[in-house]
Amino acid sequence: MTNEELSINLEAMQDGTSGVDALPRDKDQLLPALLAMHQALDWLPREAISYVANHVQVPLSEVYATTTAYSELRLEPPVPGQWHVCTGIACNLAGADKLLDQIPNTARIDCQFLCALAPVISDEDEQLFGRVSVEEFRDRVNS
Amino acid sequence: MKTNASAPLARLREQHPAPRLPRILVHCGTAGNAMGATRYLEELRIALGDRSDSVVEAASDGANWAAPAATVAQGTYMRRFERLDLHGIDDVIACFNGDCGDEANYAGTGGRGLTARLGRNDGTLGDVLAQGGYSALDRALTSTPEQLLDAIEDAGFTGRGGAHFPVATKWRLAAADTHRPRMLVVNAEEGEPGVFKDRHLLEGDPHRLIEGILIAHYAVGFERAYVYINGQARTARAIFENALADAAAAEIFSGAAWNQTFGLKIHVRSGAGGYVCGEESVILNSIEGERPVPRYKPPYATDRGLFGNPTIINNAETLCAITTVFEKPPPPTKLVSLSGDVPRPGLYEIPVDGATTWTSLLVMAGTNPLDVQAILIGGPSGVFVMAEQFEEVLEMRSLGAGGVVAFGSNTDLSQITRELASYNMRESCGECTPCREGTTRMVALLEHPAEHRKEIANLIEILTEGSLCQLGGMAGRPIQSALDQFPTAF
Repeated sequence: MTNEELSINLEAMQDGTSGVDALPRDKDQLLPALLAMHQALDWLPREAISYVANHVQVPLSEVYATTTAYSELRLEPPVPGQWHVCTGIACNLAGADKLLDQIPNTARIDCQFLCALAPVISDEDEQLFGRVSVEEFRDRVNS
Repeated sequence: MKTNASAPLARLREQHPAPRLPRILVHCGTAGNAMGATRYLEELRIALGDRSDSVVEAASDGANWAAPAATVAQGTYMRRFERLDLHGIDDVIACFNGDCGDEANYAGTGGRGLTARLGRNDGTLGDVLAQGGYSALDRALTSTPEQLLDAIEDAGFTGRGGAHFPVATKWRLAAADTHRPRMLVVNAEEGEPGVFKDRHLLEGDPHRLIEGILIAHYAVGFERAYVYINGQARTARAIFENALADAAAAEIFSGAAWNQTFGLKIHVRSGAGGYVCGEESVILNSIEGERPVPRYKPPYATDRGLFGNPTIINNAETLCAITTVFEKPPPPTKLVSLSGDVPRPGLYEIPVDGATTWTSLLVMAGTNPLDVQAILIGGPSGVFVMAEQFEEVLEMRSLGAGGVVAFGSNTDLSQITRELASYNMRESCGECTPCREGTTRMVALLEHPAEHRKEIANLIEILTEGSLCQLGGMAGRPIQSALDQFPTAF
């Protein structure tokens, strides 16, 4: 990891900790605290989880058990530049597999609840795009 | 709905005047933005120059198939312009200038029901009040809580999350317990694939949910309300919180606008994914900071729910629907999230009046029912309805949470069934053995279903009878339905 990346992470970590510090130190703030960290860092490194555990005064093991139970909480950093293709029922019907096959560096993601605009993709910033063709997807990735 | 406003409501309308007409509502929100609607918002503002104030951002009106779209409002006349990406903005501007053509073109239900204001307001309190917002609460406050409960009971309101438990009965269970603080949990987790109604309600008419919460509070008397919103529905949460701040600033939420003290504290919480998080007791655990797994029942939430207190858990749609209780007659409608092989997928508010059939829904969605071989109602916990059953009349209980996917003649339904089984396996939280082991075993058995008919039937029974919550309890439902409806496909 370069110094630059490290400093960005530290800055994000600081955002995360101040978000957590703003919450009461109660157990019922566990998920809001995890989400505050996740929003700042895009994922939950061990340090972030420890910080949350300490803040809401819940054993680290229990916080891990809770964290891993939520599908949207990432325990690894997101892959840079990776796009996601929704693979809900409607998106599958509308050709999600074709998008996954033909565009490199794409990953599956569960239903994004835009079923009426299938097939749906999302970029790194989780911005959603609906009714996407292979050509349009390719253009967006390359732009 | 604007008639007979009490003095407090009239005063609110005076303080928050209605917007000027004509105007152009551009349907943004999550659905519109996914189709590039903001681009047309900007183009229209530039095109209108010094009248650009008349171009306002609104949420989706449910007609996702029409996105990107804009609606011109001239007095009570509204005209929606669809697919701006194909047709451009010239007709929109012409209509704004008075030339709307011949066609009165609005596919929505309009004026009544819980989608009456969806996509037809700019989110300001003045706009919502002018369109009847908070008039049901205003009316409710003129009756006693008991009379209000009677009215809700007489109108026959049932929960819209899928179980269809009578609303008044549930509320009375908590209202009777006056010794302990009572809690309201609003379930807007909406984690069932194929359902997108609560997001539309929160983005398009958040004040309706706030009004529903306050009506429930007046009937039952809660200490706190928790609104639990799907973690991905960030736009919905932001819009809802803005509306909450507006309602607080206007002294609606405190009750001061009616010279009353409601004394309700409200908390907004986000989920973080997982189909099981839509289950009532999982939400309670999630709010308390526990692992998101179901609880054993009894005790039921109305007796020992959130933080051990009597708790009412209502779906967001249920509370929105309650605001229509004083419409004459209250519309028995259900929101249907329709997707799949139809030309007009989107959110529909359909009458559940004993006359609507699946055929009528499919026709509404622009398709010839003969082109549809089956529909799936209720996603991974749902059932298949085959073409020969399309003439059946829709009932509230047959609609579940309202997720409907249509399959054209080319779809391999056995493949869909396998996908649903895999989904249930992935989403099983692992808390109880029948679901944890059973959903995994089911996926394996479905590899060669013809050879394992008896095992599959046994497993469905185990899942149904033995699972701790409805994720496992209903995981066998689509499989059973598939085996009943199209056994030869396997």
